[in-house]
Amino acid sequence: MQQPNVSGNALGVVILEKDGRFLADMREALKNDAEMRVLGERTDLPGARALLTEEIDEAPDIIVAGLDLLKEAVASDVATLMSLKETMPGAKLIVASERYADEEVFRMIQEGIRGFFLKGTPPELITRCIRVVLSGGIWMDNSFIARIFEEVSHRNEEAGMRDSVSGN
Amino acid sequence: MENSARDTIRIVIFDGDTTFVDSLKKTIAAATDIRIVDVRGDIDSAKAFILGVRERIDLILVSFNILKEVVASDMETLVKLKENLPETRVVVMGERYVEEEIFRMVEQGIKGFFVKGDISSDFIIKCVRVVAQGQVWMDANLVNRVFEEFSHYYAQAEGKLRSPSHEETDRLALLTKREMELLELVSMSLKNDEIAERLFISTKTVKTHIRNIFEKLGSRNRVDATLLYIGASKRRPQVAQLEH
Repeated sequence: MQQPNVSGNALGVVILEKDGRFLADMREALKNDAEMRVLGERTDLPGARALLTEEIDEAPDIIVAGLDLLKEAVASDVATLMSLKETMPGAKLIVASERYADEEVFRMIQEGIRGFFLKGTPPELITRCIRVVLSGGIWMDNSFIARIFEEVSHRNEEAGMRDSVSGN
Repeated sequence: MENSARDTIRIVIFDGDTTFVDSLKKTIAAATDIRIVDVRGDIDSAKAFILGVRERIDLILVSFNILKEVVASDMETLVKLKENLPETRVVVMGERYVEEEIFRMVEQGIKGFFVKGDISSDFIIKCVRVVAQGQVWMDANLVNRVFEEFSHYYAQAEGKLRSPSHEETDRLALLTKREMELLELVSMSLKNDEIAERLFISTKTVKTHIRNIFEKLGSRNRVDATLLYIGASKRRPQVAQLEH
């Protein structure tokens, strides 16, 4: 297991993202925040795997990953992804994307991801997102939170219907 | 400048606490985009309003006590509320925050909640605007709780996340060229209407294609199908070109 962050108070962030422009934006956002520092960044899956498993000694506090890269990781090797969770139990994953399908974010939530932002989000909101997620909160697009509330109430309606059909 | 009738958020207040209602009226009077259409102070007059309403109401601000009474005693009024005002959103105003009770209300479709003494005038206005726009206004702890419940429910329904096997990715060979084209767009997180626009077809046709794709691949949803597509592309980058 990697060592927890012991170097001062600055939060260690790893950025895994294919899109170079987004990487640069993220770097810029974090550079202006004295409480955050970038531990490493990679643009492809093998590089990301090497970075997290071999190249850094210190466990990151936050991993910001692009949705495309994350989908590749799940599609090709979900076992490695899950084992990373075990070696870095304290690290929180935040996902960034240009767009999303509801079901993709539903899946992320199921896997315990509590941070999601759309690319183009202002830097100050990205660092706020990181802090909120680190403190155990949720940071998602407002419209997506509304979708989850709808899902929960629909689920209740469906359950009610099933109960009335089955006579429970 | 005056807001047009359509831009104005039309609200109704159901609350018997006259002191609170008076201050709420003053608060809302300051917002030119919000109009109080009616105020009812007890359960019977609130029920009469719901049963007889014919005009557009965007939002109902209801005290927790009145709502609790309606839920406990009168299912017919709740059914009528959904029939007569299907687009209307409900915000509950409570005296205190009891997570379990509020969570049950969320399950009933409540989109907003605040504790009367804990919210400033500015935030009441903000809450009305946010909920009227289709978003939610809730305590952060409750949002966490809703996410946990949703996550638990979704995990039960969908099972564990896993990488597709070779046998599963081989099923991509069953898809037509058009279906592969569509699946590629699904894997890029495009929604049905966006796919329809890109391929110059109707949303209905997109849905039919997607149903057929799911059936051929044995996928239950877009995520399963996307993982198959990406998994195959990673194993054989040329898969899309080779097969068709």
